[in-house]
Amino acid sequence: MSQQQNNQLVKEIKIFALTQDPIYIGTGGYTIGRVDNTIVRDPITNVPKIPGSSLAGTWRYYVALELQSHFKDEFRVNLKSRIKKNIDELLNSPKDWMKFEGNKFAKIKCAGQDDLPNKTLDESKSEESGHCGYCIVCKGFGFSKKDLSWQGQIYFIDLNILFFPVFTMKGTKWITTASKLKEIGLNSISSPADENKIKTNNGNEGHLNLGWLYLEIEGTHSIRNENLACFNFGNFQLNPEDIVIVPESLFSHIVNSNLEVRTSVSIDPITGAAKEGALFTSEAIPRGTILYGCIRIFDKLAIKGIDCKIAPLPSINHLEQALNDSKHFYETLGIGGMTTRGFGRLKIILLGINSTEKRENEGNTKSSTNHTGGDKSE
Amino acid sequence: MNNIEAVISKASFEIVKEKILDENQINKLLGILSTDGVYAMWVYAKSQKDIDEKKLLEKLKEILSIGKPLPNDNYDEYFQSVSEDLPKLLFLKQLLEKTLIYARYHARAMGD
Repeated sequence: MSQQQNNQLVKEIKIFALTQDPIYIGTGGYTIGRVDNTIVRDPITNVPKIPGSSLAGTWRYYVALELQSHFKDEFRVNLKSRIKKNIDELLNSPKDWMKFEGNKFAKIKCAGQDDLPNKTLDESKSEESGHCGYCIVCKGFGFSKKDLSWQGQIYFIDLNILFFPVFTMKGTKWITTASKLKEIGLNSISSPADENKIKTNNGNEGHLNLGWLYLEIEGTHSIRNENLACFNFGNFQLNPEDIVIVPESLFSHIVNSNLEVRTSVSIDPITGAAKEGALFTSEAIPRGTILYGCIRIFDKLAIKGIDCKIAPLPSINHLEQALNDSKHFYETLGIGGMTTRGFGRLKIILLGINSTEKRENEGNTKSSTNHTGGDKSE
Repeated sequence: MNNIEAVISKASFEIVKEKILDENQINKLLGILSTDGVYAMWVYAKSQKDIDEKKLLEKLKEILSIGKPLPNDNYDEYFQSVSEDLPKLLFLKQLLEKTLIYARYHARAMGD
């Protein structure tokens, strides 16, 4: 599933994500809508999405968290005590990517906005705040110091909705379109010929309601179990009978009619009742939605060998392992707003990771997901 | 009909100015319209004693006629027949949503 392009200079990793909670990524009041707090949408299709910038920001933080969790207690905060040590001596059971030599200077502040952008790269080594500019987080995701700015090596794109859950008279079905399936490599699936009709697995049910829309079934969609093998989110497995192909023109309408809308109110601590005028509504991508996107990792081989302040650089393999080892934080800390109010958890599958390492990491993830739950039976 | 935006903005303003709907009623109608469709919104409006649905439809008349010609004032028949053409129904839903969204913010601006 991965694409290695230009003599392995750029590696593309596909991402599939299952929302385990509603996901709220707000527009910050820059749009008006039927709710107070609207979510980010694709301007062309009007379908909600998870912007690549949200993914990049959270993933940077989670890689930094994962790295910090392996530092021995005595070295985690005290940066000066690290200088004369070897990277192996600083970490508890480090994985390969953690042994990258620049990680000696890594701190939790390597994630988030740089507090000290006016320090030079050399000065940042011993600063307790700001991006260090040396570790895999800074080199992978980029940084900007007084004397050097670096773009980073990991490129994120937006996560778009691939399968969207809708309640029907036949239970919950996941809607998608032929063009979305084509984007993930299912080229043989065609759209319904009639723009008012849909396709199901059996194709002979007559009609099906998708929320408030009642649509005629045109025929079968020919998606098979093997086409869906990559959507194995632990206990959740999508089946062909769960999928309904809808016309491109209806997809946005159906999604927007079936978003989760929540009304919240502030509680007056004196009366214990709802505070007047403090009612607000939010919308969110509902749980059970499957999104897709990709990450590209640029090896920047051309820079290797040039006498430059940025060397050494982490390899593609190290960067993808860093992403893979930290993705479990999306299942606990989540993405977007209101993550302490029942929103935000996301289960991520990365396709394109080196097979032996992938197996090893899946083993680790399974043990952690047993604690977090999140599946079809939720 | 050349400028749909002008029709929508006029209707949304008048709905609030003439106190046909308050902010809470607008929010409820908007929620039902979005999740359950045009007919559901119409039925809900009729079921609410504090909503004068005739006055409301008078304001929405011009918008409704964009979706489908409105030969007489038989709205029951209109809302049933408009559902027969799906693209037109979805377009009408968008127009009504936009009208109510504008009305929602007019109501807020007026400190309803």
